[in-house]
Amino acid sequence: MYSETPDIIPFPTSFKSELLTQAELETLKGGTLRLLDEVGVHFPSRKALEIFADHGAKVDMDTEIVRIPPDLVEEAMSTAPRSFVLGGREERFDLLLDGSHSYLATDGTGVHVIDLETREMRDSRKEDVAMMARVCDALPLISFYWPLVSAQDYGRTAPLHQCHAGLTNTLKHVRGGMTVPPQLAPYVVEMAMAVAGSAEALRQRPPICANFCTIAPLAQDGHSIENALTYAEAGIPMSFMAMPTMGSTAPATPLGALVVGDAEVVSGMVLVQLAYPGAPVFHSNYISLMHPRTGAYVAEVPIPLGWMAVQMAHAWGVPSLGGGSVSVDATEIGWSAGLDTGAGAMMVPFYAGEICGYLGLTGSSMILYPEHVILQHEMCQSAYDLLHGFEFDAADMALDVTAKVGPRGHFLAQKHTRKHIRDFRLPLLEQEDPDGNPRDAREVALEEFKRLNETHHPEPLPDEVSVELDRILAAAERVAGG
Amino acid sequence: MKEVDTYSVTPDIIPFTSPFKSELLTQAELDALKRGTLRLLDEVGVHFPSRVALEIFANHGARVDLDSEIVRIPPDLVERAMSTAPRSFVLGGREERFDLVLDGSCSYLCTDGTGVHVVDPETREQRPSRKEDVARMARVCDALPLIGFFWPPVSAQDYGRTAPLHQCHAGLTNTLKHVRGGMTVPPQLAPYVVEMAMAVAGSAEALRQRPPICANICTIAPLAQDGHGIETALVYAEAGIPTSFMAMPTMGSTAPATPLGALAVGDAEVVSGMVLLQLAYPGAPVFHSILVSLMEPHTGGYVSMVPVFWSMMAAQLAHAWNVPSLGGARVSGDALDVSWQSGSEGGFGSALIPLCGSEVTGLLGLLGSAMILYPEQMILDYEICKFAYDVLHGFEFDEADMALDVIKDVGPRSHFLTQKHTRKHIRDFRLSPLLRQKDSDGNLRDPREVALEEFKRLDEAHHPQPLPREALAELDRILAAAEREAERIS
Repeated sequence: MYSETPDIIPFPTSFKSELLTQAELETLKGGTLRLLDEVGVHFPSRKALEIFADHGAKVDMDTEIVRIPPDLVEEAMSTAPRSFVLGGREERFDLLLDGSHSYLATDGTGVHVIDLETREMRDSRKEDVAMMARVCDALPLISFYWPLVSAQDYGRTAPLHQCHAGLTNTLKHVRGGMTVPPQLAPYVVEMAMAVAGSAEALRQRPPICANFCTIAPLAQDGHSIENALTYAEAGIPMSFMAMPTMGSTAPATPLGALVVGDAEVVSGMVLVQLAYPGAPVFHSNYISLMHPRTGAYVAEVPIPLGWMAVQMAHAWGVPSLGGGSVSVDATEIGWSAGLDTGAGAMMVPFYAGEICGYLGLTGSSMILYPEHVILQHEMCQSAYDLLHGFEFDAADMALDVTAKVGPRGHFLAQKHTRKHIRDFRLPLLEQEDPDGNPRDAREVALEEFKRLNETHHPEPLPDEVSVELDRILAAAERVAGG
Repeated sequence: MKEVDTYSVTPDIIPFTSPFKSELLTQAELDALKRGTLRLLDEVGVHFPSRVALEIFANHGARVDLDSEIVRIPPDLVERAMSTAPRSFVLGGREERFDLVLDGSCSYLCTDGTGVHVVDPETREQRPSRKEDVARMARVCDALPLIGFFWPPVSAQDYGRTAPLHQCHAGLTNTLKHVRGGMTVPPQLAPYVVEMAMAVAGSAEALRQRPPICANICTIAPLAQDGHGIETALVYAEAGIPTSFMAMPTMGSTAPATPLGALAVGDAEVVSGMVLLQLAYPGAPVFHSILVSLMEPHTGGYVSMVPVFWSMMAAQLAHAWNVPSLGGARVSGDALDVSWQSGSEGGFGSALIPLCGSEVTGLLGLLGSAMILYPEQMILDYEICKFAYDVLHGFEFDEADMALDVIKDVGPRSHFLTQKHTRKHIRDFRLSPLLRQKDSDGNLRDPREVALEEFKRLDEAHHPQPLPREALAELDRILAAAEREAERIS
């Protein structure tokens, strides 16, 4: 016996707006091309340097700096697909990244968990990843499962266990690929292959994708870059995510940070395209600000940087991971967290990134309060209700009903009222206690989380696949231990 | 009235301009809705319990039943009357820099109204609202540049029957911004509201050109007007005071249980009021407002978070009738206290402001479905709107800001900390004064506490320019006369 996983609900992008003009986007791309050509990017990987050298980039083997001529960038990027599929366990959970829809993702990767029972803060564990995967499996607006926290109880193989906890606890697409020591990357591929069923199926409907963080300014991580090549060979889609901070790792102007991040992301995508033309890649550029007095990290910059990043991705002809985000800076679930959630949810259809949202964490993606995903899902549902479009049926004006009721009457006894009064999704969080007093939304959300945690058990993987995954994990542990 | 030698400078207002207005309904759908309204007005009619109104309608060829007080208005009469309603007009402030031009090119944020409970800023106990609360909120809002329109957030309950006049007075004497000073009052008191507006404007002509107050008249769903509301509206319109009609249909009880049904009912009410004013005073400035809610099917309770974007449809409908819209997005919500819920409702609403493109919008400052005023909530809501404004008012693209040469100097794997460019630009960003504040022990402070502190600071420090002494004396005289009239009619 298992629980039914509801169909996922993507946001249509019919309210998509453009902040930057085509000419401005071209200017920004021109900036990126100049940085890649004249300044270059640090690639601390012999393999990567050789690929670049073989294709005519200017490679300095000592400094490990690669300078890529504009025509090589353009040629490589022209092989990157504009749209591709991220696979789910069943086709109804597939995400088609073609710009027509935005799919909501969970946030990642935190390290602290407010325990569901003790309510004390503790280090995150694999069981948290599994619990969140199961609960998110039941939440239809969540389409993309990024393990919310790290499986810190597994040390060096933590990323593989996060991938495993995701694949075994939700039917949705899992962001299972992260930076691991290159010797472990093949085990991630094996896990994806075990779930997909074959190398060809993995390529067609990959059940996981990967994410690699670049290093600002203008550098790549050696392990990441080699992982990326391993994953790309198998057909696992990947995003490169830049996180430039204005004032410290990037210029203190939004456009300066955008081009620094863009140059990093594009350099990674170019490498993957040169090695495996047509490999599915997507683009992610998260800009923050160094607080001018404290030096602290400020994610909530009052400039629509996420929006510009989405437009940049699309200007390069690849999908975007980014856009409207409900990720919260505040450490507690209070007014500020609510504000970030409400405003972020509304931006989802407006910015129209293919993968966005980032539900579930507080404290700048560090802390997991399990109930927060319920609160945020509810707010995203409200945004969806308002902005997924409206089906206009003139009959719904119900003019005859109004004529029958007439001035100063009421509609309580009308058949039309009985027929339609339950057509509306009522706010989950607005509930009353037995005395008729409004209940705290957070308390209602915690109750709902616990209910789902107890009752929602999605279809398990076939036994032989589970066994195979265990075998792969054990083999990876041996390599990691050695 | 306390005499002050010096006064605080009121900052210019910041209209919420944004290039991101969206549309949910097509022109054909809007036409279908308008036809629905025309049919309701023609075939079903609206209850106008006012002899004056009934006669105006009868004189212009509407079908009036004097017994039932139902007016049926033929479509061509509606169209003809509405053709005289101006698409754009001015709501005046004390100085021209506080004038609001309602022409669809921008949105002006307004405060919410009218609550009845105040959580006292000092005792923190909840008590009934008073005139002094209106005055204090007017002063504080006077200092907040994104607020362009002051609707008294609470009622002057310490003044009984003349409360609306005292709200108007507290507004006009404590802010240089436009005041929503006209509300439904017994018709005998309406001339005193006009007199107050005239005293502030300086002359009848000035009142007409740059009216310092506007009025709001609530209709009664379904398809009815309030007798006092309608007669008050006629008095205001004669003087040139702009008037919004606000319909508040509740799906399932006072309106059909479908959003389009509720919109059609609300629209018919609003349009019937606007038609009356146009017939009586062609060209009178009117605006359009519909707030749709839902009856909770199990409890009969009031649900304002309806999962349909009716507010955008209502704004579109106003513009389809070629008049400005009051409504669109609201940042004040149903939460009873400052909390995750109030923050999320505010954040959600603020992002809708530029999408809807209503001329007067926002409704800042109240909690508990517009019933409770926590003074600090105005500062919190303001901060929410400031963030939305910063993000959504557009972006100035300057190619030099790519700073390619700076990046080239720094190169891979380095940092920008010591760059001149960084020193020059790192303070270009407005960081929220409510967030990331620390106490003396280095602990993060609750934004609410910081907001209350900011409210108290403004309350103490901001004293806008008073009205000229003679205008103040005249207002006092008018209020005293109104009190006597109220006494007489009670």
